[in-house]
Amino acid sequence: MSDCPENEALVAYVYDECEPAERAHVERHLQTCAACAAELDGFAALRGTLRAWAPPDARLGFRVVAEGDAEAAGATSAAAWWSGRGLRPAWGAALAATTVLVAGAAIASVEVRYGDGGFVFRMGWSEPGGGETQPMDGAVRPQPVAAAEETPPWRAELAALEAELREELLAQRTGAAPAGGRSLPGGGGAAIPATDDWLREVQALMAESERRQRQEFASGLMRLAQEVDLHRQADQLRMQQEVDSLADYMVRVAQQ
Amino acid sequence: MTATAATDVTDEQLVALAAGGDTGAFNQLVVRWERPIFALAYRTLGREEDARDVCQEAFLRAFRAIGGFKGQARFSSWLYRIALNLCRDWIRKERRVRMVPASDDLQQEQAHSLEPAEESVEELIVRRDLGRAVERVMATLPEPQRTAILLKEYHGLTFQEIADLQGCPLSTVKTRLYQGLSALRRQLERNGLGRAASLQERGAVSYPPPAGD
Repeated sequence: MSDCPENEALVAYVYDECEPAERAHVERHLQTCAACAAELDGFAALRGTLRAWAPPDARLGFRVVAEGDAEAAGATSAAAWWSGRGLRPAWGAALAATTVLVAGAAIASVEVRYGDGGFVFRMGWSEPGGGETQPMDGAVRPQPVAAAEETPPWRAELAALEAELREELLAQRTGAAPAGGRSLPGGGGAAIPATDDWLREVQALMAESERRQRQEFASGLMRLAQEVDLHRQADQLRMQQEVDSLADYMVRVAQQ
Repeated sequence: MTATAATDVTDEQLVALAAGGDTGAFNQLVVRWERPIFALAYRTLGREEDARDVCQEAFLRAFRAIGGFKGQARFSSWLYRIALNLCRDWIRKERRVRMVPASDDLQQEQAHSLEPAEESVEELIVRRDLGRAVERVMATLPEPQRTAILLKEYHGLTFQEIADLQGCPLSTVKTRLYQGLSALRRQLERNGLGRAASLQERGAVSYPPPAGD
C-alpha cells in the first residue's frame, strides 16, 4: 500500500517512542493494511523471543577501594609492585598482595604448581578441570586451582604466605587503627578476616590488571611467593587453621 | 563503606558525591549498574569471564574519570559508552590473538577444544533453546545494528541516547533497528521459529516494554 508508514515510523511505534500524531497515523493505517499489521505482529513475537537471551546469573559484587594509608611497614618488594598501582586496600600492602594471590588465582585461573622449584604460577584461562596440560620435565602434574579440593600441595606454600601475612596483620592490630573507619571484619585474634566483602574488594582491585597485564601480575605473585619462601619460619600448626579457611575461600571463589 | 543505602538518591547525586571522593557513593552506583553493564558486555562478548572483566574495568575507569564527568549525559549512558569502548578493544584484541598461528600441537589442540562443534540455529530452536538461538542470530548482524538492538531491547535506551552513543543521526538508529529486527526475524523464521508453534505465543506477546536487565 502506498501510504504505508516509513520503516522508521514503524520502529518508533514498536518502541512506543513516537509523537501522538504519528502514533495515531500508524494505528489508523494498521486497521486497513494487513501487511503492516503482520509485520508489527512479527516484531512483537520477535521481541518476545529476544527475551529468552539472558546473561548468566554471575556473581558480581565489584567494589572500588580507595587508596588508604597502606604504607604498611615492611611491605615487601613484591607488595610494592602491587601497591604502585594507585588503588589498594587500607589494611596493608602485604595482606593485599596475599589476598590477591587468592582472588587472583580464582579470577585468572592461575595454576599453582608445587614442585622442587617451589611455586610455579601459570596464567591460563582454561575451564576448571578442562584444558589438558602436559606435565613438564617429569614435574608434578599441574593442578588447576579450581579443581583442587582436598589438601593440594600448594597448601603448604599458602601457609607460608599466611605466616607472613599474620605478622603484618598483628603489627597493624597492635599499631594504629585501620584507616578510613574501616575495621577488620571478625577481629579478635584467631580467624583471618575472610568475608565475602573482603574478597570482593580484592576482586575490584584485581580489575586493575587487564588481561594483558596479567603476565606481569603473575610474575609479581611469583616474586612474592619466593620472598615469602625465603622468610618462612612459621609455626605450621598455628597456621593450619587459617590456611584451611583461606584455601576454602580460594576454592569457593574459584568455583564461582 | 558509607552505608547510606537510600534508594531515593538519584544517580546524579551519587555522582556528585563520588566526584568529591566518596567511594561509598561510587560503590552504590556500582551496585545499581553492575548488572546492566555486565549484561551488555556479556551479550556483546559472549563469554562470562570476559564480560566480568570488562565490567570491572568499566567501573574502574569510571571511578578514575568520575571527576571529569560533567553530567553531559545520563550517568548510565556514560557508563555504557565506557563499556562499549572496552568491548570493542576486547574484540579487536581477541581477533589479533586468533590470527596468530598456533605454534605447536598443544596450542592447536587447545584452540580446537575452545570451539566445539556448534549446533545449528535450527537445532537450537527445535530444542527450544531460544536463548542460544537468539545469541547465534544476533551474532550475524553487523555490529551497529546489533549494538543498537542491545541498547534498545535490553537496556531501554532512547533513540536519542543510542544516537549519541553510536555517533550517528537519530534516523540512522531507527533504520538500524528496523533492519536488524527484520534480519533477526527472517533468520529465526527461516530456521523454524514462528511457524505453528509461536502462533499461540503471539497472542501472549504484545509489544513488551524494554526491560532494563
